[in-house]
Amino acid sequence: MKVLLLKYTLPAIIIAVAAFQFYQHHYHQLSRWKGGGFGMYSEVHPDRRQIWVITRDSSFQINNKSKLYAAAYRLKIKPNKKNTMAFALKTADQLNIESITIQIWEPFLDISTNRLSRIQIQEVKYAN
Amino acid sequence: MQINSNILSIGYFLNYLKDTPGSTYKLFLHGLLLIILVYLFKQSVVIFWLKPTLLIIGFSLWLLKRNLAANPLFWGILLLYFFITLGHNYYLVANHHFVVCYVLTAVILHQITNLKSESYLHFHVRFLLLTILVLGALQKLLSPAYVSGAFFQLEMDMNYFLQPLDLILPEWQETTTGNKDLYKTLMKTNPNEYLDAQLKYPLPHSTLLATSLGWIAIIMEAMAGIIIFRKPHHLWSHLLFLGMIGGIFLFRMETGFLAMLATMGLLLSPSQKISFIYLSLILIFSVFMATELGLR
Repeated sequence: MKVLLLKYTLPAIIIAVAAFQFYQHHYHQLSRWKGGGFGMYSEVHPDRRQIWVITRDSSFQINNKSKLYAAAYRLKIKPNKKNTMAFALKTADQLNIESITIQIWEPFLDISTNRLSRIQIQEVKYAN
Repeated sequence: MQINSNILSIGYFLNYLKDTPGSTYKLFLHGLLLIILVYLFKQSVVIFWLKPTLLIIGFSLWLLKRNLAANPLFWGILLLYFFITLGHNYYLVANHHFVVCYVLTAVILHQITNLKSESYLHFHVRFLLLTILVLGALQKLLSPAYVSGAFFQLEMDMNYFLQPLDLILPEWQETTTGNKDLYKTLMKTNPNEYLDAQLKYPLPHSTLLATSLGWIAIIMEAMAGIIIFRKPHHLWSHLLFLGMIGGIFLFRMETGFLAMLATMGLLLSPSQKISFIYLSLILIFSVFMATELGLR
């Protein structure tokens, strides 16, 4: 029994972590790059995703100088509805406004024409 | 004072491997330690007290017991560091951070159980390589952007893949620089305006090349993982594995990850010559990591 435990505990942990990553990717939009599932270089890196904030008066992108950058970076890695809503609340609170739209976009290349555009992967509208 | 020049020769090194029992295992531990130290010093500070504490404990241990590589407590402290940073930033850290945790666990298990045979350590390392490579291939296979070739094409258009072509083909650099400028300009615009940019192909038949290379990468990764797991001491398994490491290096200088792969390959090495190749790769990749020529 001890021998079996010694031999198979580590492989079981490796598989469990990878299985959790697969689950998180398929049901909670975790990037393939993260979470120990070894999916690096299989899709666009989350760094290249963009978070756009749209208010009644303006629209702007969260960049690395923003106070919200750390939260935005985490959101790029796991841009599901729940996390985007939490980010919308935080941003509305920070900007002291009542309604806000958060959009997440990523680059998209049409391979047949080599035309680069962006596709929206998440949108959340928040109104207090 | 006479310096023995033989000490720097490949023959001396090969003889050392041949004559010293357990030398591959010792070199594996020292290679692992080298990579971890470079990674540690290059990693940005996540928790301010963690690195100084680790340094003090490590140095104290070294004063008490010089042979740190044979000390499971030392590896345990390193594992604790990686575990804390992993827990702190589970979704932020790179995949090789997970790999370091797994390899350290395997080393500690091997050292604390006092097993004369290295079979468990070998099994764990083989299993880890199988998982990394087969899951890597599977994730690519399940990704529509990868299978269509679009991901690969975009990386080529922007000179993130196949960077060494910069040195050989002048038009490659010109085209990819132009593409990068177009990319930056597009990314500054509001996406709700639905603008796009026409990128240039860096090579003739780029699309075919991107799709084919993408599929070759999937097949090579999966094959290398399965073969090294099933036939870990076969020369051809290691030649395929080394070919794959070289291939990844040409695509993208992910030297931190490649150094980890080379270290694991070294442990399973079937001959002194192959060990020498792995060791050289570990040193080269570590230098690339330390000097930031390659990625951490």
